[in-house]
Amino acid sequence: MGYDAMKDPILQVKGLGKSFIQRGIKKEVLKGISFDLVEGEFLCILGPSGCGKTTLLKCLASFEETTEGSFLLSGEKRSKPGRDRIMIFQDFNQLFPWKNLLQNLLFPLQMEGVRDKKRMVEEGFNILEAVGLKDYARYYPHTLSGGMKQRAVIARALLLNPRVLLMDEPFGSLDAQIRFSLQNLLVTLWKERNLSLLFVTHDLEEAILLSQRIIILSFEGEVKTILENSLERPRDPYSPEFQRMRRRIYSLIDPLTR
Amino acid sequence: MIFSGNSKGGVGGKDKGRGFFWLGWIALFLFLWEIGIRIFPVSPLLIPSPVKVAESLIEEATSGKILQQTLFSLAVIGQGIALGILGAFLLMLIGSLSRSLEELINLLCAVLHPLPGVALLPLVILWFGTGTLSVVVIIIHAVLWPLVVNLKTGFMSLPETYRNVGRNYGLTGAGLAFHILFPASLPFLLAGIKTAWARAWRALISAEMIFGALGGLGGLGWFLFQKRVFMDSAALFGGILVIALVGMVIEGILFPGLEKLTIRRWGMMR
Repeated sequence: MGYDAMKDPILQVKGLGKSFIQRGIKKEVLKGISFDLVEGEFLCILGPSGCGKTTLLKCLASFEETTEGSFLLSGEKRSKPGRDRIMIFQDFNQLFPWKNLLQNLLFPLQMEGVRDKKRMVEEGFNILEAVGLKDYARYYPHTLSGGMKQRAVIARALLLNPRVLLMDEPFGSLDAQIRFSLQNLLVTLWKERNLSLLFVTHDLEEAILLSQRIIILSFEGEVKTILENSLERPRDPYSPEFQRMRRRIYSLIDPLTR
Repeated sequence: MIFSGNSKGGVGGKDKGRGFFWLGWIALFLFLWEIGIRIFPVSPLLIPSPVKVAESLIEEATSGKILQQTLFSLAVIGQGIALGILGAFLLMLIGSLSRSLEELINLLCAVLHPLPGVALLPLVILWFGTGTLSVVVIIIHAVLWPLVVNLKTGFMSLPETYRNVGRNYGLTGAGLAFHILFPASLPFLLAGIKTAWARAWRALISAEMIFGALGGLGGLGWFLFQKRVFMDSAALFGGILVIALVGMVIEGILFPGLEKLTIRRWGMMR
């Protein structure tokens, strides 16, 4: 399943820009961001901390308003947040602590007005099994480890069947081993369910490991370049091809932020 | 030896051990009290014998009205706190509508929160008379402002992620507040209720002394006042004991129980 430029784009970003006014000075965080996300694509946005990656996702999720440009989801404009593009944050506090795992998962469905409780619970258990948390359905979030919480958050997002998943460094706060297992889980889920993923990270290796394409963002918030990543899966971080890719990207990254 | 408690015994083990130690000290205290008044010449009006206190308590409980009066006090405070919570939510709602309304609520809190209920007493009597209504109003005043302040702090301390997750599911305004913001600020609400209770209990006892036999019977505060007037020191001590016990049950059993069922279970203790 490779990146196919011929497929219809599910997300089209055109000249997106965002600036904030701090103490009377206009600060441009994002400038002229343009790219397409094709259906079923795993697209990574790679950039240094502070370059505006989170702001970009927030604009696409409509948690923030863009100051320039626009974006289209399946050809339509979006101005309000919605379940068609679910954002996954880096925070460990995304699950509601007063609900157990299953209740957390089913909450957005209930908000939609879904009434078939039996089917909801069944689907809830199915998705928990898919992320390896079937036995933890009645556990409260505070009893779970960071890795488990992020798995639960992914499960919750998948249950809503969004068109696009906006992921903001979801594995950033996890230790290397857990991060690796979650990365593998994500790739598995992506293949099985043909997900359209926009995955933001500052971790070069993670971007190469996961993506079909990498958008490199400069520190000033502009698209520096868009690279295709056609390494064969399963990808080995120690293989020569991987190293080549790593060197190539490293040379493209803004030398000031190394 | 006694204080080197091993907390690995779990909450149950620690509490059982602690219970015995407390009983031990109480027994010792009662013993010394009884011995003390027999040895030293003290007027029974000032310090009655513990045996007499116990006797008078039993008598008041069976043939007297102390149980009803206790329940009356609790009912009045219950009403006051319930209305206070409602009022606090209402003020929060109003404050969420616009920036200027929010500042109005801030102003109200800044002026009225530090004002002791007792200072308002004469005004309340003027406006609402000398009945139970006035006492409830005093309680509401004691309860409302700490609740609003705590709820406000709670809302402001909530992680932005909660709001964004809610908005992602299409929740806005009232829906967001009801489903996410209020449950998330439960720890703050409970802290507010604990403060509110303490203030209300104090306000109530003093108000009852001033207002007299509300609803025919009056409450515990009135009980104390009457016993002083009739110089029934044994019953007076008994009344103080009951008031202390009520406070201990509420603050030592009810509130921790509530916390255990909610914010402890959910890992939300601050």
